[in-house]
Amino acid sequence: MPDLNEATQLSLPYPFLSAGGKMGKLLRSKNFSATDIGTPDQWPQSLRTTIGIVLNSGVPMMLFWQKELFFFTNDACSSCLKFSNEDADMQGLPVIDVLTENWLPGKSTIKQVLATGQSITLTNHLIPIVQNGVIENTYFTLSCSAVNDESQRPGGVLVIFMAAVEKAAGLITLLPANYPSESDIKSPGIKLPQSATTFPTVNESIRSGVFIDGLGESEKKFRNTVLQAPVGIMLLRGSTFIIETANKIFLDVIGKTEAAFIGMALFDILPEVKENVEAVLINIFTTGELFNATEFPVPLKRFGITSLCYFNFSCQVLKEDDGAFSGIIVIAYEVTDMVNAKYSLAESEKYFRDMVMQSPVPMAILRGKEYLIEIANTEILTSIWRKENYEVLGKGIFTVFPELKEQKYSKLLKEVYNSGKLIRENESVVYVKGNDGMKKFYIDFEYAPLFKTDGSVSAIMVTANNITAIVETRQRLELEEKRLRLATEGTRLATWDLNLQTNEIIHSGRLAEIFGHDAAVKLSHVAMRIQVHPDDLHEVVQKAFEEAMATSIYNYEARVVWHDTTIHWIKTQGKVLYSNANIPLRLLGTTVDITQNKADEWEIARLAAIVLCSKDAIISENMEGIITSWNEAAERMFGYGADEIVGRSITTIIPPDRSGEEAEILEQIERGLPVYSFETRRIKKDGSLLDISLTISPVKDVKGTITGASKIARDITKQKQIEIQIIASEERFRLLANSMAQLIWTADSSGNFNYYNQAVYNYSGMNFEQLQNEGWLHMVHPDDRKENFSKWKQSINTGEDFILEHRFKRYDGEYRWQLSRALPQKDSNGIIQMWVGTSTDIHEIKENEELKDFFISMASHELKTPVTSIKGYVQILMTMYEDKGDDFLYNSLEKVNKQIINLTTLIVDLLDLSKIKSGSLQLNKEYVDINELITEIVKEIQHTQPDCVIEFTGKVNALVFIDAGRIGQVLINLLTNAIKYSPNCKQIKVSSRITKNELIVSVTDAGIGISKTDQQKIFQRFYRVSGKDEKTFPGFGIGLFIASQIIERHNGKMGVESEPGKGAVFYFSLPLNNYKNE
Amino acid sequence: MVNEQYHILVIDDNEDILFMIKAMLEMKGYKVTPKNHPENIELVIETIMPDIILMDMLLSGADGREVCKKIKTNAVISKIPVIMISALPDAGDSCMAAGANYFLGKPFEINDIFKTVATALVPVMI
Repeated sequence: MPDLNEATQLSLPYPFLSAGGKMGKLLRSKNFSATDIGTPDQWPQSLRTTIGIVLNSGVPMMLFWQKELFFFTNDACSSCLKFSNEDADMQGLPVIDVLTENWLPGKSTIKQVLATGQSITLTNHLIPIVQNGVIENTYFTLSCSAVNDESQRPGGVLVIFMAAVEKAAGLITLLPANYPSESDIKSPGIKLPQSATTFPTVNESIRSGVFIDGLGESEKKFRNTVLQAPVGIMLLRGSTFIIETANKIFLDVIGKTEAAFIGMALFDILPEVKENVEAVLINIFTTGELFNATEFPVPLKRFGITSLCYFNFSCQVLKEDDGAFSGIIVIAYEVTDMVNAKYSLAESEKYFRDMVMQSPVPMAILRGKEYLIEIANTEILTSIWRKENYEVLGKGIFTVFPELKEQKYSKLLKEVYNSGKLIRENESVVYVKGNDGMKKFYIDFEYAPLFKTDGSVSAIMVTANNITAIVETRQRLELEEKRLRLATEGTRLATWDLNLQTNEIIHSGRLAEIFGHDAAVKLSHVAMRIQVHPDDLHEVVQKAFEEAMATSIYNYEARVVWHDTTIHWIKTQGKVLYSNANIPLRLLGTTVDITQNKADEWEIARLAAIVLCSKDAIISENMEGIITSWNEAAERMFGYGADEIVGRSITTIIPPDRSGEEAEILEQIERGLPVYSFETRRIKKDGSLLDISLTISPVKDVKGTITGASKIARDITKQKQIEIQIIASEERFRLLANSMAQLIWTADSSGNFNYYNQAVYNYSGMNFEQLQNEGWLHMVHPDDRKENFSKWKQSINTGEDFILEHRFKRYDGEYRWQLSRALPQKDSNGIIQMWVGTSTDIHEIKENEELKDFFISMASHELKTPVTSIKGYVQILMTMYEDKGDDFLYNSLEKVNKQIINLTTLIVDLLDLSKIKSGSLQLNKEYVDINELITEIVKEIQHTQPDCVIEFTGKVNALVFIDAGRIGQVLINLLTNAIKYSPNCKQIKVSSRITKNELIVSVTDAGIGISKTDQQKIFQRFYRVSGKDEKTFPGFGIGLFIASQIIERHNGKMGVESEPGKGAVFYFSLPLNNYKNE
Repeated sequence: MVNEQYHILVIDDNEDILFMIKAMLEMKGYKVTPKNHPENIELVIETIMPDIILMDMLLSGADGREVCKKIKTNAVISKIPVIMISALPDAGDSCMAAGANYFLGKPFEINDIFKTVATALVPVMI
């Protein structure tokens, strides 16, 4: 039983040391810390892997590591070779000093493999084995192959012992004792040392050729020997390779019986080997050369199965006594098992691990859920992880590289572990913190799952190809390429090559673009010429071409016209190439679109022209105040020519009392701030002063440094004069306004007051601020404010004149009536600029008027009392004397009564007038049949004027909503007027008609008529038609005014149509739907 | 005359008009008591109990409308129809508002006064 504790201690971190029985235990017991290869955790991976395989293998194996030849072997080897305790103790120790040439494969063989990396196979090597104190000679075939270390160089030699055979003492006795032997099959030139027993191996002896030669002497004996030989031997006769003899081993190998095999042609009985072997045999038979081969593949059909078998061959011609070739002796030792073992090993994990370790691509294997780093090759350690092997092995990847946890890789690993699916990604970015700090890598990585037998993932193979340099280089290249492309595009240069013999032109796509086409379009020389602007074709391009023919230099700037008719400027430069005979062959050149440049040029030219032609003086000066430029306008303005002022100080034109200005200006300019419309004065050359307005801007150079100032000076002398005039004019206006007793005020176009004359301040007792602060509103009588406000607003909105009678509170609190008028002041476009208003004190007038109205009202009342009395008594008398026969008395009383009626009418009219004035005329409206009303009135008038003929025509039946008394009054007025102004009192007609929504009543007479001028005034108060005849007619001139007012109150209209001498038609209209509004 | 049985009290400060109206009404046979002032008028009315009262609105120091209001608030005499007359333009409405039953504007036609008195007497006659 192995010591579990001990084994556990050493093997736990190193799975490769965990097995191996006795030899494994021995190995684990060794303390490597003092040795040159160090402790197992420092061993290269290939060593570990190989040791793992050695310890686990049932095949006898040995491993010699490094030049010290550290020795590792297994139990199979120990038992097979009958190791003594001493031998076994060699396990894990360097044996370079112990190993002799006599021991095992021999020190030289191992050193040779270690030096060259070439494998060496020792076939049927005799190894004396001491067993129970007796030496036994045992034969082994040894395979010595190199095991590479991390640096891909042979680090050690693995020796595999194969297939021990029976002793071949009989054969050996055939050999001369002193016969030299060679054991290296592949490198015949290297002499191998004699084994300790001094016997050469069978194979060596056969291959020497001398041995074969010896056979010719005793063929029979030889044949017996052949038959007894421990190796397969076959003799072939003649060029058809008839099998003459084959020993049992050979027959066993090929699976044939002697009867079926001997005497047959080789390729008849073994057709499957023909392909591989025939050429070899023919060559040997022809040339007589020795042929040796190891692990030679031969397909063989044995026991009904064809399989690929491997043989170590040695073939030699058999010579007749005369030296002629009679046949071939074939010695074959089957090594199929060994080869297969080797290949199966290659497929083993060892091989896989070796592959990982020796891969030039950074690789690692992460084991289990913890992603423990089981293997990491040099590549990954040095190029990406930048850690030592011992720092990472056996640790979790995220313990070693916690930064990976925050990157996508932790998720991806988990995904691979859980799903068993491979994940591969190119140009992935990863940040890894190695011993020299955090670094960014671009990697093409692959996470490949490794499965357990149950199909679950046991580990993940990480391949991470570091392509950082490639990606970065590419990125740099891309950047460079982009820059280059931008640069090319920036110049937008077109290139072309014109064949002067054929006029064919080859050009870049850009040229087509310059001519307004798609880059893919190919243009002919003629087509391009057609697009040249007509004005430039002969004058510029043709001339330039002729000059090029003469001077070889082609150079012009011209316009081309695109198909969309836009004009573009191009600049072409070229050079003519001549033949040896000085004949111009080709014209090579470039063309560039300079439209923008041209535009810039023109912009500069235009600016220069502006400066030149400007009516304003444009002067530039440097920061010292020295004038650097001076345009023509400056010459005109100041009287100095540019030639006499440039270079002098600007103070030349600054008056002494303003000398401080320049310093202030320059200070502001220095801070980069412009000066706008600075009004000042300058001296002209003739000493007179000039009013100017200055605008000054800083002048900067290309770097943005302020180098001076540009001054634009405008002559504002005239402007100043006008300003003075305006001020004077305004002063006069103010004086005038203030001298007026009327209130004068102005308002802006929005109606906001902005000026009051002195009279306003005097009247109101308020100052400007008080008035502005709604003081004017408080000035207006509270009863008038609403109307005032709405009328003012209406005027502002419509531009209509503002006219209003209203009361303003005087400083002493007394409200006085004012007639205010405001008219809009418009500019030439009819836009209102301001309102100018006046308010005139009409308080006395107003009072007088009210007094008059009161008087009329009172008078009419006081008059009525006596009239009532007179009328009453007259009527009493008339009643008393009606039937008394005194006609004169009765008629006289009747006349008195009639005059009393006239007097009463007059009084009533005056009263109505005062009512209209005071707005107290009341209407008692009801539905009235207009027909009835007219008929009644006509009848009444007819009654008092029996001589008149009044005709009522065009009667309509209409109910109108009116004050019957008032409308009757209107009719009476019209009829009495008609009678009054118609001398013969005939032909008076009343008619009514209905239009769409109006009732129209007209009274027509054939009287004296009214002139057009008078027609406009007869409805005004107290207006009487003038003229000598008219004055003979009685009346106050208030009847028509009252009538028109009554009609107006009914929302109707009154009018007249007349011509002097041709009578008149008075009419009024009443709305039929009048009631709806009541 | 049939009208003799009807007694009309006429009050007017203007004696000319007072006697003119008296004359007019007597021409139609009415019994007329003229008064040129409204003093103790309620006592007078209660005493004589006229069928109609005809009264001027402005009575030189007294307002006929106030007199009318008193008459109309005196249960003994309130039923007696009151005709008021005035030369003031818009007096009609205010007289009616004071309780007058009829209104006549000055100057009036003789027939107007006869018609109004006759109309006012209708409820009395019934």
